[in-house]
Amino acid sequence: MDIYREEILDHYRNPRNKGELKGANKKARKDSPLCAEADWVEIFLSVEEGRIKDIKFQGKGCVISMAATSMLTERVKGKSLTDVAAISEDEIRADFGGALSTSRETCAFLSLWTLRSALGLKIDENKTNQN
Amino acid sequence: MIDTQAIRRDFPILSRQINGKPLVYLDNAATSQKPKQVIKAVSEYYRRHNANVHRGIHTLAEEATNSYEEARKKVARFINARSEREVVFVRNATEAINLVAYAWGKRNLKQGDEILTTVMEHHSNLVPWQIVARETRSTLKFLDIDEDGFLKLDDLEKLLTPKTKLVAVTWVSNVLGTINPVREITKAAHAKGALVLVDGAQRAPHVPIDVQREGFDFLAFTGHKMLAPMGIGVLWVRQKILEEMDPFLSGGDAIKEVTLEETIFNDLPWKFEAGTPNVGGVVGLGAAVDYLSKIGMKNIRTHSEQLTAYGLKRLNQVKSLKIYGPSDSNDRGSVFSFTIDGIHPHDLATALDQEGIAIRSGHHCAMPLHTRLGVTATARASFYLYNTEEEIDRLVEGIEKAKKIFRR
Repeated sequence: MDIYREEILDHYRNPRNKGELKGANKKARKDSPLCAEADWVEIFLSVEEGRIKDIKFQGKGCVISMAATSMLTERVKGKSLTDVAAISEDEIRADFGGALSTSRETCAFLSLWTLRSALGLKIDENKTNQN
Repeated sequence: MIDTQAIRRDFPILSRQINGKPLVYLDNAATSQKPKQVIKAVSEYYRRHNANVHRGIHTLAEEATNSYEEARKKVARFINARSEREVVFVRNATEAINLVAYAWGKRNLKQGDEILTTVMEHHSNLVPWQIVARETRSTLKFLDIDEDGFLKLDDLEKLLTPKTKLVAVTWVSNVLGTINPVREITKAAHAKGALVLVDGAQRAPHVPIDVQREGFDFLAFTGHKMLAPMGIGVLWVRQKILEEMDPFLSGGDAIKEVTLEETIFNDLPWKFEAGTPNVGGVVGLGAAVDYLSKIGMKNIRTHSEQLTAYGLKRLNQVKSLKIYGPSDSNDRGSVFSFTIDGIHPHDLATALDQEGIAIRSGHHCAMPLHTRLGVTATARASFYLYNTEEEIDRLVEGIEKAKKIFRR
């Protein structure tokens, strides 16, 4: 199945960039819209000269939310804030083969929304208020 | 015994393929599927008989009114009400409970009075009482559960006081499956002068109900969990109590005579059915009651008990799966909430969906109960008259497959 293919499961079992980031100058935490405060993602960033120099995350949740977070940290590390701001929900959707149901998409988008929040970028509230 | 294969042929949706696999629909505690007899009755109503009910002179108005009131009689017989005047049509069980909270609770409760409910309630039988308690400055008290998911009935005597005015309790927990002894609870409550409201949403679809024998005062249930369309539910109230209640909503149909200054309200039950009702839904509910009655609620109960026993046995065989609620199938309805070590319930639901198996995951609108159980979410499989033991086998196979995927 596309949703739980090996790459996704690997990110879940062996999350990249997990932990706390000492010297982070930006951070944000968000609860899962689907699971209320039970599941959450917190992202720590070290931003220098308009670039994400380093990123780490903490969190608890399902395979989809945790794997999506791990993949996102790899995707944005070293990128310019302009590039990061351009990352869309569609890109995340594609990571899961476009096979997620609308309710489960919120699990996949949680880390992107948390990252945007840490960077003071706009979050599409319509997409966060599914529950 | 019921002929499950013949029954399945009545449900068009059951022949669907989901993700390339035959649908196994195990989300019946959320809503049931609809047989073609119900779909046809609703469609025929709109094709041939549609008109606004009551007060119409023309033929269609008369036909629509007759269908509407005929369905009320069917529902009254279905629960053995003394009179169809005790049957009020509402949108769903939630609205039925809200009607009691607002039309009875707000008028009769006062500061210092007590409402007793339980920690296992669906939000629909909790939140309205929180609101009414706050507005009337009455107190909300809770009956706890024990480790096996039974209400702690030993605490009942202590919790019931002369100040208790209402006990609001679910008949069957939509999470634990626990069947609560509502007759016993009613006796204890009545002895203290309290009325009893029973949330029958998970009970009415599965067993014969006799409101006169049970003795409680209010019964709320919904059509869509018992083969009827969504948007039609029932509130049954003992007539003497209903007569003393003010309307919940007001407007057309709820009135007898209106001047600019005041209103004389209509007779029961129309006093509680302000505005144009969901006539198509009521017709569908009547057809659902016909369908269930034809198969026989005793037979449906037997089938439900067999599936419950089989489901409990098969799920208990799955390693590292924990079932919440009573361990003896005789104590439970056909709903099973469970968790599996290391697998998030939402991931399990998504993985099973890939196999065509529909279950629910989350808190099932019972967050306080999940807090009490010490879990944030559970997976839930629930059965109905068209489900088979083979489908429970497919559920177990699906769970084993998910365990392989997630726990390598």
